[in-house]
Amino acid sequence: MKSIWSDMSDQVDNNQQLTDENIRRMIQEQYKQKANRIIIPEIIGSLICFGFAGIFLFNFNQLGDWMNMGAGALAIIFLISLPLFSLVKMNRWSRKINITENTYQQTIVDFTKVKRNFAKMKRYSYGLGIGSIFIILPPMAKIWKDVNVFTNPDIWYKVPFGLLGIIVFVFLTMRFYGSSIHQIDEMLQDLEEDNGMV
Amino acid sequence: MSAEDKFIEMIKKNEGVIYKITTVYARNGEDQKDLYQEIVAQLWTAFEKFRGEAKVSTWIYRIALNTAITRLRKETKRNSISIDQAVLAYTQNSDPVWEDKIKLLYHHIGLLNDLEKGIILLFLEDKSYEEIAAITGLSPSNVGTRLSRIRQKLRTRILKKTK
Repeated sequence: MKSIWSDMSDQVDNNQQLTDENIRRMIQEQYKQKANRIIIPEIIGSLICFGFAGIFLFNFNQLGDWMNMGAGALAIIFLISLPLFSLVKMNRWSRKINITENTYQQTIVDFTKVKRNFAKMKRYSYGLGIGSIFIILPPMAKIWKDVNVFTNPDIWYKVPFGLLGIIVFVFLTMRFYGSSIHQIDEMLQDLEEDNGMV
Repeated sequence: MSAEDKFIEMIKKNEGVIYKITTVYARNGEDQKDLYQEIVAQLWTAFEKFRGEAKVSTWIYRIALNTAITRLRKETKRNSISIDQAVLAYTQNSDPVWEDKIKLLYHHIGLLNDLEKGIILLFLEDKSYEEIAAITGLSPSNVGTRLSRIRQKLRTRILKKTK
């Protein structure tokens, strides 16, 4: 193994490819990379939530009675606070990893903890997603179709069919994140116990 | 000599190290180019604070390995500068048997977990147990124990594959 690696290393070390120009461009590239620190789908999802919150806020007067307004207010709070919480948390977690100062093992431990926290957050947010249907549906039905779901209960008969599909999807997703979290915890335990970090 | 010039000189002296790390940790050619770039960028970020407390190679290994395992992998294509494939074609050996052996070794190292990958890579780079301990944060005795387990694992898997 070592002899093969050594042969390969000799070739690599004697074969210089980078130019000064290549390296200068890589250095400049770092400023663009900072914007990518937060996962793109989370940002896109958050923007969609903020968009809907904006629509509910703009059309708040159309909601009519206190029940729809109450649901609308809750929906606005939900659609703004949860994504913000998620973005702030993720940004904070990613800053905890000190790539330039940590040892390799500490980086693995820190990053594994970030992955675990992220998986937990995703798991709970999917669960909350089901509950959010009951908050978001009333103001959405009122604004888009001028239907008051509180005085027109017929609409709720149509909900279970869609809800069933969503519940199954959410259940499977929560199971997936649950087993990911379990594996991550085992890995962390192995790392921390083995080196007396626990 | 400006800081940038010193940095460039340091990278050129150690570009082989960065190449080898990217080959172990990247999934494919595009990923390897991205990772290479990210490592250089991280090293530049840390360069200002580096006061020579450790050997340059130890410092580079530590940051490069840390960068390799903490990347948020993106599915969409990112903005990477166009490093030609030729730039990353560091090894040109016309012996197909040798090429196969190297590919097999890389493949099986790639299957190890992050910590094991780092340890075996440093071992193959002829680092002492003390140096590996300094980079990884493990104790030298822990390095020795893990290393013998990793070597046994690799030996078993490679032998199984070649049969």
